[in-house]
Amino acid sequence: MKSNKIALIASALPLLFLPLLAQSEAINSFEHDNTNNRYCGTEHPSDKEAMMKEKHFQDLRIKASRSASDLRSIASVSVDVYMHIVTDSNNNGQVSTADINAQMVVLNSAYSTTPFTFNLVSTDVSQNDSWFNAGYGSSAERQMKTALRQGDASDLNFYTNNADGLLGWATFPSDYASDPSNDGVVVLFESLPNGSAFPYSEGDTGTHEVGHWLGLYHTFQGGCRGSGDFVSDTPAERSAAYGCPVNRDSCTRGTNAAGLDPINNFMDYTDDSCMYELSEGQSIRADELSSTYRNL
Amino acid sequence: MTRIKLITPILVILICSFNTHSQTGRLRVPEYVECPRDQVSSWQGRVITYHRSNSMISLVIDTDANTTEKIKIHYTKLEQLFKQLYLRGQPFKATDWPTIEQSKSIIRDNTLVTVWFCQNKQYLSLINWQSAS
Repeated sequence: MKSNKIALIASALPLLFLPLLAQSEAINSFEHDNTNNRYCGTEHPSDKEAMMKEKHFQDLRIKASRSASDLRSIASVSVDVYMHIVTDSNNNGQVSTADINAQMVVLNSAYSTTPFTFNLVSTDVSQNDSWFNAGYGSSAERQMKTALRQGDASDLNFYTNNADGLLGWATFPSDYASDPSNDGVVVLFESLPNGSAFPYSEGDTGTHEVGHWLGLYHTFQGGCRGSGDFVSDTPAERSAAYGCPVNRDSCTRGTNAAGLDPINNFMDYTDDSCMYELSEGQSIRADELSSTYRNL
Repeated sequence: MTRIKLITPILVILICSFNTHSQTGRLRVPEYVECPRDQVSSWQGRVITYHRSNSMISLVIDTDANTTEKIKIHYTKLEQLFKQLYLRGQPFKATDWPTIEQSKSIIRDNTLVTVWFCQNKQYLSLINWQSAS
C-alpha cells in the first residue's frame, strides 16, 4: 500500500510543474506514410511517384541503349544560355555585363568536372514591375517566361528578378515535355557574383538551380530513408544544412547512416562560400537525364 | 453536371499551380531567425494534419523533400505562441487566424508552411505560414 501511494505521488509530481513550463515544444519526424492528401502531384512527387519517374527514366535509357559507361567526357556538352534580366520601373534588378559574365564563369567552374559547359548566347533586359516581383508558380512568372523564353529543351533560359523571397527555383528535365514554356531557372538578381545577398552572393544559386535543371535533387531529398536523391555517392542528409556546419552528421542510424552530411555540395542549402563540389554520381545522373530528356 | 465535372478539376489545377512550394527552390534564412546559421535547418511543405487548442498547437507536414515531419508547441498564453508564428514573413497576429484556418483547429486546404528549427534548443522553432489562397 505504501509503495502504491509513493508511486501515485511520484507520477503526479510532473503535473505540479506544468504551470511553470510557460512554453515547450516537441519536434520530431517519422517515416513518410504516403497518405496522398495531394492536390499538386506534379510539383511534389510522392515516394511512389518518384520511383515511377525513375523507372520511366531507366526505361528510356534502355530504349536509347545507353549505359553508365557511356558517360560523356568532361566539357563535351555545350549548353546554350539565354539570359533574361528583369527589372522594375525604377531599374531595381539591373545586372551589369561584368556580373553576368562573372555568373557564367561561376557556372563553368562549378561544372568543370562534368560534361557540361555553358555558352552565353544572348542577354535581354525587360522592365516590368509584375515580372520583377513574380514568385514561384505565379501568373506573372508564366507571363514572363511565355514572353521571353527562347530555344528548346536543350537551351538554358536563365531569368533574374526579385524572386519573391526565395533565392531561386528551376524546372526538372522531365517537366519539359508537359510544360515547355515554363522551362528554365529563375534566380534572385542579388545572388549573382558581386551582388548584395550575402552569404548567397557568389553566383551559386545559379549553380544550384542549374543542377535541378539538369536533373539533380537536393542532397537532403528523402531525409535519412529511402532512395534519397537517387545518387549513391552523396551521403544521406536528414534536412537542409545552412551556414557551413563542418562535421554535421544528421543520419546516424539505419542503412543510410554512412558519411558526414554533404555540406560542400552545390545541391545543399549552405552558404555560397561553403559549397564547391558535385559528386561523380551527380555528374553521371545529370549527364543521363539531360541526354534522355533534353536531347543534350 | 457535366460542366461541374469539367470545371472542378480545372479549378483545382489552377489553384494548385498558384499555391505550391517548389521542390527546386533555394531558401535563405530569414532575418527573424536568430539561431546561428550553422545550427539552423528547415522543413517546407504542406500541412496534412493540424490541431490547435488553448494550450497546444500541432501540425504534421508533408515536406517538399518527401519526408513527413511533426511539430507540437505547448503554451500558456497566446502571446507566447505568437512569438513562434509568422505569416508570410511577418509576425503573426490574432487577426491572422482566419487566413490559415477555416475555423478553430480546422486548417485551410493546401496550407503551406516553412518551419525553422535550431540545433540549440534555446532557440524556439518558428513556423512561417503561407496562406492557402
